[in-house]
Amino acid sequence: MENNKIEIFSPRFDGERFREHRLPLDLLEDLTALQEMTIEMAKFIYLEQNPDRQRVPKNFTQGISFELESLEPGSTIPKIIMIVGMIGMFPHEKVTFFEKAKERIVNAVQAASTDDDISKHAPESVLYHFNKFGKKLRTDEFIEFNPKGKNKAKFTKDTRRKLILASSKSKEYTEDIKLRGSIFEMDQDKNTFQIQLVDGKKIEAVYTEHTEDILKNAFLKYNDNQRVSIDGIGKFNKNSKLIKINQIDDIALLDETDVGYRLAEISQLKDGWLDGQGSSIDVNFLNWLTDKLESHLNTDIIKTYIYPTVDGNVQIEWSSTQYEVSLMINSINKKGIYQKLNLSTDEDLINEYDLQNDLKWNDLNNELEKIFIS
Amino acid sequence: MKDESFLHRQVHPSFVQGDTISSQVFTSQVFKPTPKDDFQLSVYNGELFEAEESYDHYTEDGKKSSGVVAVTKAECIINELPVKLDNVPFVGHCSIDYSGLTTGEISKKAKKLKVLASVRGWQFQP
Repeated sequence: MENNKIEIFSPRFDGERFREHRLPLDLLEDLTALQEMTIEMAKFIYLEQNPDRQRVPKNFTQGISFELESLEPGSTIPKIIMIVGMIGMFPHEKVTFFEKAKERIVNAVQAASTDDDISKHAPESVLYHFNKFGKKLRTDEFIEFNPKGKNKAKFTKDTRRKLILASSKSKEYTEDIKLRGSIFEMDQDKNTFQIQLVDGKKIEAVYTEHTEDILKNAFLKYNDNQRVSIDGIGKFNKNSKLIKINQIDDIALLDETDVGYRLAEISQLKDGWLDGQGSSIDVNFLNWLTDKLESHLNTDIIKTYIYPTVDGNVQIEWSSTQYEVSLMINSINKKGIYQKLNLSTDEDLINEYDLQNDLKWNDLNNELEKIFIS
Repeated sequence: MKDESFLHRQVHPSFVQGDTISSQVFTSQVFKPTPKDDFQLSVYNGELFEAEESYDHYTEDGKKSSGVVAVTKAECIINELPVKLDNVPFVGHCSIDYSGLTTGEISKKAKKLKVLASVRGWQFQP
């Protein structure tokens, strides 16, 4: 049997996770969603061009398959090809519908990225498929659907929301979530629980057998301030408000010094938090700091205490019987003033760390491990 | 004022991580003078106020406190921090004087007072 091979999509994934030109398994589902979306679009175009037809021919997708041929560098470019079996009716004509489908999808993404009219490129039935595409994309990541073109068709979390909400069927959308909070209610009859987030919001979720023990543990220790982290998929309304947890991929009990929870608490401070004084702290800075602390410092072992400062910065402190250490981080220039006080000798050492440089975070971690672990 | 007398300091909730003494969470900032203190750290004279009384007095006009910790006058003097019994703005108010110190020196002394207060533990928690 003779087959035709056509490169259908080569989207470029960019962000920290794609620096090594690999594709996390989390995102493989996206490729399936892209295939389904393209088929739906091709069917729509067929019917658009054949207004006398009520439905597409039965063999419309017969002999067609999408395959991941390779991962190209740059950061990561999954090369998706379409294999078209040269059997059945009008194989070449069929290919045209799929090629046009790709073009329309790219144009829809481009329109979303530039706030143009999305609906003139793709119907609701196609846009709805973006619910399954890009769920696990992180805030600092994006996909270019047309990396070699002038219009890159940049797909971000924000673009995704616009595409889904452009479908009138979708007054809601789903997205990857990482939540921290306390379990204040469990219903064993309905297999549901309620989590209270740092900002006080209460969200309901369904639990399964594999998460039940951890949830019960957290629920019973609610009055001891036991907190949990939940990774999964959340459902949001059109105003980007989380309304439900759809899926739990991972749940863990948090230590009281969990840096993510603590920084989320600090993010809730409003101007005047210190009895009328005290500036609120920039949320983007706190998100950045959470990421840096979680990825560079051994905070599981070295107890890390974090406090706001009156001038809108953050001070981190570490203690042992011999040392008191602090790091005051400026939220604007991200420079850290480090002070290590030896309580036995009364000697102190002051250093400055430029924390925009990841290597300095590694230096800091080495320093802290020397003091608090070895 | 006797050297061994306590100087009570209110701890703002944002400067506590964990809410019990056993969690051993105290911060340097508890003792770090804020702009409002003009390098004078406000404390209560322990000879005139019990820790709980100082808490009640501090919070009666809506200011926030998670509880009260304390150092002694002698501990301040050892760390070259003068203590003023100024009785302003109320009788029983004292100030630990950080004026004339560099930022690094303030931070260092604040760390030392924090350790002393942490070892002593909460004097009062509501």
